[in-house]
Amino acid sequence: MAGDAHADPPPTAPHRRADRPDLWPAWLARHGPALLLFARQWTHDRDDAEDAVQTAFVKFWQSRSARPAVDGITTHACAGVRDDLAYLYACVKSAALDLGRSDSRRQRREQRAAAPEACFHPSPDLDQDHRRRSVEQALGQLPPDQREVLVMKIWGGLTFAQIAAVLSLSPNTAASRYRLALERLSSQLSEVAHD
Amino acid sequence: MIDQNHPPDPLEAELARLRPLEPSPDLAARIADRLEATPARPRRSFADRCLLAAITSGALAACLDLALLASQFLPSRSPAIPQPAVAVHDSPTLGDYQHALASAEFPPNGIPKLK
Repeated sequence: MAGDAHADPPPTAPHRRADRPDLWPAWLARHGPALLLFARQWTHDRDDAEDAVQTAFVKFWQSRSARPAVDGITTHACAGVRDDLAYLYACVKSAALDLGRSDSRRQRREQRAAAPEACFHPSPDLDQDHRRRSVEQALGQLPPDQREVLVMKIWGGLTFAQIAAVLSLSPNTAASRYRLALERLSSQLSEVAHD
Repeated sequence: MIDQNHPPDPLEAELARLRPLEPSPDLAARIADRLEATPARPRRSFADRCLLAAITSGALAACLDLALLASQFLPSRSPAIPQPAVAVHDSPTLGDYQHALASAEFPPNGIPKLK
């Protein structure tokens, strides 16, 4: 048939999977970096953060696949979260906290060198890269409840309503934590700049 | 509530320009393995479950109706009259022996009497 020549390749073709928004590779490609950064808050290193993202993502995707979406919203009854992205972040936080509690991992991380790992892409410009390291350091010094809101808002692109759903807060509280995080980060960065 | 559409301050813009590192390609492979190893179990939607419950309820109601109709149209059995409890003794009792001895010739014929 003539139309077959222009037909889309099968959806399982590797080079198309990340382009299909309804397939998990597209979700991972789009949200993976921010999820990894989010998980890094409770894990010591990148490997643990990836393990947390893996566990959470599999749980999320199975829940999403098993429950049909209504008007584009999938109800994840187990977490009481109706928003896909909010549920994914909630899964990542839960998995990362579980990993952090593991004694074997704690022992393993204590044996490792304490050199901090980069969270963001380095910049070729030396000044900008110095600034990046300062931001990473300042982020690490934020209170955890402010830092998680900042990460979800800035790099995850979540709304305050979605952040509130992840953390079981009111949107107002999520927004005020975000403001406080920005103020504290700004203060810390200006101290570093003056030094 | 704080307005989400406010113009971003310079710090927000600077933070947004920082790009988090991507997960390793190995992560995608591990997720693929896990998803293939444990495929999601499809769950029935709420509408499907309501429909299933309605069908089951209807079937149960139909069975009950049939049972009631059958009880009305089938010939009714008269209740069994309870039989009086009669003790049947197959083996002779002590009274039977005494009665037999009293009514029998003694000594029996053919047996010489003792002198």
